[in-house]
Amino acid sequence: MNPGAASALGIAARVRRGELSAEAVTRAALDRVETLNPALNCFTTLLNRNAIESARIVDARVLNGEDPGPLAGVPVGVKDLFDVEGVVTLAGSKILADNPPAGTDAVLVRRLRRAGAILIGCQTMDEFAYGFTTENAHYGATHNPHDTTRVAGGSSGGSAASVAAGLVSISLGSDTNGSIRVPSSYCGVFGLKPTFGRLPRTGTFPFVHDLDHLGPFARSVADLALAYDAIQGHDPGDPACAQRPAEYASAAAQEDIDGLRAGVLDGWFEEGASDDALDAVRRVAEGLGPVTKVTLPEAKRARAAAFCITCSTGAALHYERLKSRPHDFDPATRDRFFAGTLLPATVLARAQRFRRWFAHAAADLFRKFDVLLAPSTPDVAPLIGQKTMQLRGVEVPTRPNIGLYTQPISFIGLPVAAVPLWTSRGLPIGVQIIGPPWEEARVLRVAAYLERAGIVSSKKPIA
Amino acid sequence: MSEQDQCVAELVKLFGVDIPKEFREGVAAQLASLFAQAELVTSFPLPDETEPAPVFTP
Repeated sequence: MNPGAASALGIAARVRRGELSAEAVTRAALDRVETLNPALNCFTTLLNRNAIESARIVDARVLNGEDPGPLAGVPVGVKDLFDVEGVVTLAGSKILADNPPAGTDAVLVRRLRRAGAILIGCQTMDEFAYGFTTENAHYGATHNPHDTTRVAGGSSGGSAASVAAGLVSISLGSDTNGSIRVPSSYCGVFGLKPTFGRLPRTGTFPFVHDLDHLGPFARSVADLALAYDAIQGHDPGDPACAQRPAEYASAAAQEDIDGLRAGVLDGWFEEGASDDALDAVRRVAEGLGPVTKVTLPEAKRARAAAFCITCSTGAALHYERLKSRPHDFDPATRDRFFAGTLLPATVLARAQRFRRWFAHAAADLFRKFDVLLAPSTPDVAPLIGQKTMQLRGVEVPTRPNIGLYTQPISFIGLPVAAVPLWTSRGLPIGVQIIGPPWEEARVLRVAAYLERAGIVSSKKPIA
Repeated sequence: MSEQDQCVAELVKLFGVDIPKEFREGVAAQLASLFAQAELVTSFPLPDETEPAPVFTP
């Protein structure tokens, strides 16, 4: 049994039927991690012993005729900002390493475990989730499984890379400005950034309280929906979590898309995009029917507003640590946080007001379109250490420009299924399928249709 | 001292944020980038009735 090749659905089905033991799956996953992870660097903490113990509990449930859960025996990982009982939540930092271990699991970790999933470890990220490359000064860079000279993307880099490399079947990450959609694009896996407020963040280390989203990664849409369904539901521990009932997506994702109206975002979402990124959007759009281009007005300004809110609110969160331990920050995050402490309050207030304006502009588009399409990233993954990149011939700094197309969308909390395509260079690149608020099932349905049509896939095509 | 460094030094005095001297050049570069984005935000004419999008619920 190779957990790197098997689907989460397939593993869970066999474990539930007693055809395969969760312990065997877990040992195979841990062996794979031992072999492949040294070259990839996807984990800050591995939980081998706990994983085996958890797998034995799942196997005992099966033997006793109990329901072991929909994710029985499925190896999973979580970004290192989710609390895991007995583990220090690092959030990619050196400073938090002095904290005591978490006393309880984050709500979503608890839900994964209750569903029978086996937690293999905590995954690498940019320090305090402030980055798009997972090149971490304290814990090293995470390498892209499809080309280890390239970044995995960030900030949920370890989460995406370990799914791509088959170290786990499902990961959970977070997305404040693109941190699920960017590594999904670079690593060639599916990612779901749900509507802001859909999934509770209780027990996770925050970054920007009114932009932080959590969501899953997987190698198929069915596995993505399975994971999403297992973790849905309100929790009062997160004040931003909407009081909405779970709206299960697994069955809905298999429905047809007859009559779907898809719009391709132009303007800001095309400027700077590489030929590969534009080609990926074109292939998705053509797979969904006639291509209609549409403008989401002021997207550049929305990105700027998200940039300012992030820098300022993130700086306010880390203010005490900036004053007391400035030398212990990753230089890549430190200078930006310091800059954020100096941003006038007027900018922040204007940015928040503009957010309302922009949300109305997007709502207008959704009166005419069911989903909107845009690249996840301007190009394929850059090289590790690459300081600049080309945006249609213009040289720009790499790190701040990776999230150009994701930031305006998370700014207003829209749900996105990030789907992978493959370029002629043999590298993946992602497309965002964007829905109106609370329509996760719709974006997953479109993603599943594209997957069935062979247009999107986490599997690199055989040359 | 460059104009940017001077700007950071003035802001540090104004806001009371003690940014170690060895980091100020890097912070100045980030600040220039941040203020360019801030200009895009503040230059947009919003109707007075446009309220922010808070999520806080007591």
